[in-house]
Amino acid sequence: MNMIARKKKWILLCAVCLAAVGAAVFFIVQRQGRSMKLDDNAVMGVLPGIDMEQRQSELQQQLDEGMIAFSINASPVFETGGAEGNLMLENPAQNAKLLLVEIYADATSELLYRSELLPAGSYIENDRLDKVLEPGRYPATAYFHAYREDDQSYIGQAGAAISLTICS
Amino acid sequence: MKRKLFVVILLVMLATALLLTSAYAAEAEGIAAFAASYQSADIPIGSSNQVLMVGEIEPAIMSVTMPTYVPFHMGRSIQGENKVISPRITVSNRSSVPVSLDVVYTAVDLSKLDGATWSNGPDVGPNQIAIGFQPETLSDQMPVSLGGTNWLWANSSQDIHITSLGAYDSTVMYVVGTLGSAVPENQTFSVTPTFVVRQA
Repeated sequence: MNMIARKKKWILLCAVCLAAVGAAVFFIVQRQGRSMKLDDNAVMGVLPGIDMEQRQSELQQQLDEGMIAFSINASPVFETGGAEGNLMLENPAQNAKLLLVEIYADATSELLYRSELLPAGSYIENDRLDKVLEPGRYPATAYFHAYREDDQSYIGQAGAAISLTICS
Repeated sequence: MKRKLFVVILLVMLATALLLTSAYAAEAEGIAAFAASYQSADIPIGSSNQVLMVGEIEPAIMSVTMPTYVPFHMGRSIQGENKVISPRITVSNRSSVPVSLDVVYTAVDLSKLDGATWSNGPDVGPNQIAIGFQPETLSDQMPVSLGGTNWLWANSSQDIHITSLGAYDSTVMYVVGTLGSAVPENQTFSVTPTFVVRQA
């Protein structure tokens, strides 16, 4: 009887020890789990430089934003130096940008004309030059400066070579 | 006496009437002949000197779509001679006037690339960069080689012909380029060409 009681005592002691070890292991694992956290420097997405097609696609979006459409008369004619001429400047509706036009004389780099902002879907058919020119032909370059519609920030520019004719 | 005078006047009147009748008949015959000849001839159209012809010369309007700036990436790890990843640049002529597209100036800023310089052609030194444009030869594929490239010059006036477009035509091109082995990577630099379209 005494032997049986001592055995039971040992079994109980072993069970208590096992429970204590199990609890300790569980506690340690839990603590380790809690210490695993996301790195603040991690950026969601594919590492730049890995996916070439994706990079090209991003560049394509930037390029498309910078594309510009415009129309201009290649040979505007002015009856006199101070008269209106048929410049025929157009900012087509599909542009979705504001355009500002400047015309410079090729020979002197002098600014001959500067428009105000043209909204998309508008045009200037006839206008006077800002400088009165003597009769003759003047090779010039018209620069179309593009601006965003929402905040009027600058996008870029493109040019067109034209020839101004002053009749008298 | 009175009777004799009356007969003379009557004769004169008869003679006059006869003459007038002959003249009228001749005139009527002339008119009839003229009318007949007029009706039988071809009727000329548009040759009358009374028609005013007003001519108006239509102005030559250039209407194009082109880029204002061109973003691109560059890296030595890119396979092939061309070390640039470029978007597909489409230039369109929406007018009946043939045009040519040229670059008249290229602003280049390499200040963030330590000691790097520009090259006007494909033969680059260890710390040099060269950039240009090349027309698309294979559909939707960036060029791998540098043959046929129009190279840009840095910060100087230039007149580099890029491409020509016929009436209602469009063309596609890419940015291409190369860089030397000592050019630092992971830095940005800017190349801003100014495109000018002109009547061809």
